[in-house]
Amino acid sequence: MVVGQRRVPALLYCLLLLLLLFLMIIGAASVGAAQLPLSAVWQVFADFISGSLEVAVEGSAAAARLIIIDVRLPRILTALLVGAGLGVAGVVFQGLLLNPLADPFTIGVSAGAAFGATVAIMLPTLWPLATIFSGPAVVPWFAFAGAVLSLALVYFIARSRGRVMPESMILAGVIVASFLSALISFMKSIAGEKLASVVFWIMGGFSGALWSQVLLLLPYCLICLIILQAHAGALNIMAMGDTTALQLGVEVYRVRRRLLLVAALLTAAAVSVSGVIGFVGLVVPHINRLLLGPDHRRLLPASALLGGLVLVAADTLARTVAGPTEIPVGVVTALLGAPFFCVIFKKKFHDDK
Amino acid sequence: MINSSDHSSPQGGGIAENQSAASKAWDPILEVTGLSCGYGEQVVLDQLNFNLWPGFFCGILGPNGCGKSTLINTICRVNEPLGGSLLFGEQELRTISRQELAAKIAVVPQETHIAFPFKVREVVAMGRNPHLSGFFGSGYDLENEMVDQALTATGISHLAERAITRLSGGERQLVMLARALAQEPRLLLLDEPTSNLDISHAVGILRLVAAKVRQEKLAALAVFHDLNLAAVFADYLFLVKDGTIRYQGETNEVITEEILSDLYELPLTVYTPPGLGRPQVAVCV
Repeated sequence: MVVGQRRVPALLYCLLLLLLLFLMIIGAASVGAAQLPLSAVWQVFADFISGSLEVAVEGSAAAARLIIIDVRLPRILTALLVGAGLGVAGVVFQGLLLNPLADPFTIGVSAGAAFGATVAIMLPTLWPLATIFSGPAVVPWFAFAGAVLSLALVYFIARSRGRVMPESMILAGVIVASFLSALISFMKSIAGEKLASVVFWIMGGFSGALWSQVLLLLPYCLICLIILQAHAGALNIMAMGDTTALQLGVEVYRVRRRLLLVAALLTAAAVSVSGVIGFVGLVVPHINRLLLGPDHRRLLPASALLGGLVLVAADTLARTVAGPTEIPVGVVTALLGAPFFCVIFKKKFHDDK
Repeated sequence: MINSSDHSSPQGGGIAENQSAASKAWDPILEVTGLSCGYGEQVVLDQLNFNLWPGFFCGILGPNGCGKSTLINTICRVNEPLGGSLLFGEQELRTISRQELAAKIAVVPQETHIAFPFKVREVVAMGRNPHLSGFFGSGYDLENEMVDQALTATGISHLAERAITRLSGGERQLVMLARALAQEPRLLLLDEPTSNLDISHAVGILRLVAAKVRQEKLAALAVFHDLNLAAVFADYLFLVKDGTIRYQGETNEVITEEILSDLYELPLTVYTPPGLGRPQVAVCV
């Protein structure tokens, strides 16, 4: 007799992820160009949480504070939020498009963000008067605008008779992405000395993360995650196919439109601060599906936690393995994610047989 | 027996007379008048007039591609009707929200492919969606007692923790029926619910439906492929051909050699096996 797939208890799993995430943050705050002892990290965290940062400290403790609070923590938190966003967006796109290969970038949002960022980086070269609009702080906004515009374009192409079908969304995404990629390539070819920064941005990274960014990203991500979580049950029912979902009382077309939009906006924010980081949105949902089963009510929070954990870990590797040189974090996630993805798929297909 | 096509008026007295004879004391659950259905510009069925009653198991018969599934999909509003009226109780069907509608009308689909390994209990609990409300309400309630009742009624409680992807076709159809029952509908639509099942599973499903129809005064409308199963289980039959209901009537009245041969353009023999009390059909080539 065949027994149904065994599942890991979701609550236990999430608590474990939370614990690992906490340890990971402490670890990540300790390693880097300046190695800080765990006790010093702990002290800074304790001060931070208890709100006694105003109390002045001296010597190495002050340096530790400066490094952790001003440099490492915003970076860790940005990676955490971006990872959580990509993980959750991946689950939603796979569930909505009923396609296991869908990820947050399937519908071309990443190409839009990369295009926006490239424009921002190139702007002073293309149009000298635009210098006031340029600089590192402007790049995320351009990237976000690019992502949203490409989403609008994909949506416009995929729409027919007021409905958006999954296949047409994927197709439109591919078309828009390849068109934008060509534009990016064109701009790269005339980029000259700016080529390095364009390439580096696209490969993804968190260097230069700021608290102001974290404070914008946090409420934005939270709102998106809550909206998506509220539709977890509807996502489950929609996994049964459009007809069944309609018969069970789900307004399929309206819900799909809303969820595609929210997940894409989440992705857009993530890419705009980090660049294109592949595989997190693909691998994280698959690991969780394998362990927890297909229920989106569990998959969404678990993927936020695992996505955050994975990306904080990847970013820590990116800034330490070849230190003091940084590797783009997108390279780390791809190098680790691709082989891992193969293993998961092997196992999944084996299980499904 | 009524030859619907003989009546030029949709309100032809013969139909009303015949159906009220069948309906006895109840008001119809669904009153269909002048319904036309199809896709976009293409009209598949036109000028349909019929009623569905509580406690009555109705069947649809007709050749492939005659629009039987289209009719089912129009009643549950997967397709919007192209014209005519569908009255559910006192309410026009299109004015009912989709969620409310799913609490009144449930569908057992043709054998469906399910890609994700949801547990049987989860799939059945999805039938509770129409009864949930609130921001986080869209979804389902695994612990609901209707879920357990539906699992028990269909005899699949022992499969509750199994993945739906690992069930046989017959078991999967029982899950689909359980999900439909968990919706607590007043009208049950079945779109060839047994077309891929062996005879014992098919009879098992139809027996369950027939019992629910009798006990809980559900109305049921099922698309049949198998004439003999239709003759045994349906109380009343709609025979569809050339874009309309060509005949409708009580089973014994419409399962005749003359009508079926016209419907399928094939010489068929109708006989009544001793002890069954219902006609059966055999091919005579």
